[in-house]
Amino acid sequence: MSTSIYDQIGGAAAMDAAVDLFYRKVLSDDRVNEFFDGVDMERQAAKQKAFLTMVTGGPNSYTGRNMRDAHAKLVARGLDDSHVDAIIELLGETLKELGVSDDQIKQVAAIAESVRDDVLSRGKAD
Amino acid sequence: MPKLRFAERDLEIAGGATVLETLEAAGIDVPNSCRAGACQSCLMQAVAGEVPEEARRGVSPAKRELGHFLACVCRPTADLEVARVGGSEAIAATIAAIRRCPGDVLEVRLRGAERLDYRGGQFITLLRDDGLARPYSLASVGGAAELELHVRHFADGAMSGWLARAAPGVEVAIRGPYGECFYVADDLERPLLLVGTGTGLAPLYGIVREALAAGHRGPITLLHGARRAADLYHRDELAALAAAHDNLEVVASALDATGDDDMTATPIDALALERAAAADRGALRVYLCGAPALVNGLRRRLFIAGVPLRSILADAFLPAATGGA
Repeated sequence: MSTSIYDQIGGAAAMDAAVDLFYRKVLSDDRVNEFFDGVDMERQAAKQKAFLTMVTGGPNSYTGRNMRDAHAKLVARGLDDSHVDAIIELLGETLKELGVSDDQIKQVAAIAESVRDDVLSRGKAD
Repeated sequence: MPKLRFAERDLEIAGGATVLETLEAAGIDVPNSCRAGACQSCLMQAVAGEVPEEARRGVSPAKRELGHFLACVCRPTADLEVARVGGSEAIAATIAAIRRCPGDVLEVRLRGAERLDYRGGQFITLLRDDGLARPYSLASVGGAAELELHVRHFADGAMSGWLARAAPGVEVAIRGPYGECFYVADDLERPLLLVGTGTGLAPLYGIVREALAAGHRGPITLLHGARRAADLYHRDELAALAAAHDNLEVVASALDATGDDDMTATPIDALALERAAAADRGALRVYLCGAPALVNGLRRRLFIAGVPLRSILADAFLPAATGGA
């Protein structure tokens, strides 16, 4: 059995620091940070923790429906592919700083890629 | 449409209405203030049925187990039976003294609530005998004989206007304590940065005194800001505290400060960012209290500047939803 990237970067205990890194990049990036204006930071951090856990192969209860509902209002405000691209890029930078290899970052990006249509309210909900 | 059951009455919940709105529509008074799920004035108890998670946010694990939830943000999707939180929870107290301070601030001291187990910086709900409820932070140190509250006096404030005229000896009740904005003695060496505007000083005054009482050795910086220099209160108390403790620095900031009044005109958010940048951000713990725009804006900027999210404890003071506080 191969170790998940989640376990490799330290599992649950390392997630808070990983979320801090990722969330800080998101809030500092002018391509996407306007979508985070006025949100409750603690709740947002909890959601990002669930997201990072899911894409790195940790224990999660991900459903496309959650992702779709959570982003519907943002899609109405103009969320599109360019923003998803930026988030996947920032996710890669975060993992690189945590010592994850380029190959593995590609695997994570592929998982993140799989929720793109749900995030952007495209196709059918699962 | 889901039904709400309260005191043996079945009430229709109009589409999307909260428990609080539903009860009010039926003429039932429930203490409340912020109507945004923050102040916990409207805490109620579920007897049967499911409470949406949204209405349990910020409710302590112990209270969750008792079925407690926030009526103002609870929109039931199925039948729900609720009750008032046990009357035994409210603690009777007596107004011991009220002192007028600069900045239209009333320092309110309460006696008789010795059994309240709290930490300085947490908040309580103050209840008048007719049920009027408002949240106030505790400026006193846990275990002190008197509770100390700092109440901003608004001319049209239902509670603050009443307090301004209340005489010592008047009886009130309190519920609480609530909140996680208090000193934790997990590392006596870590730097502490306390930032507050207006009566945001109240929780900070409790927190800083608990830290000093616990023997905190790391550097503590307390920044207190107001628009006008004349509105900064408790300056003597803070100066005395700083004089008695080498590791405490107190900085007063007012937009109209002239420089010769021992305060700075540098805005408090700029000061906070400056101090955080100079500190060991990994170890730093920050407390932000007062105006929501300052608290929420500074939380974001300090986080971006490298302070871990969990190291920033914030208490944004939301105004009462109807009339002044």
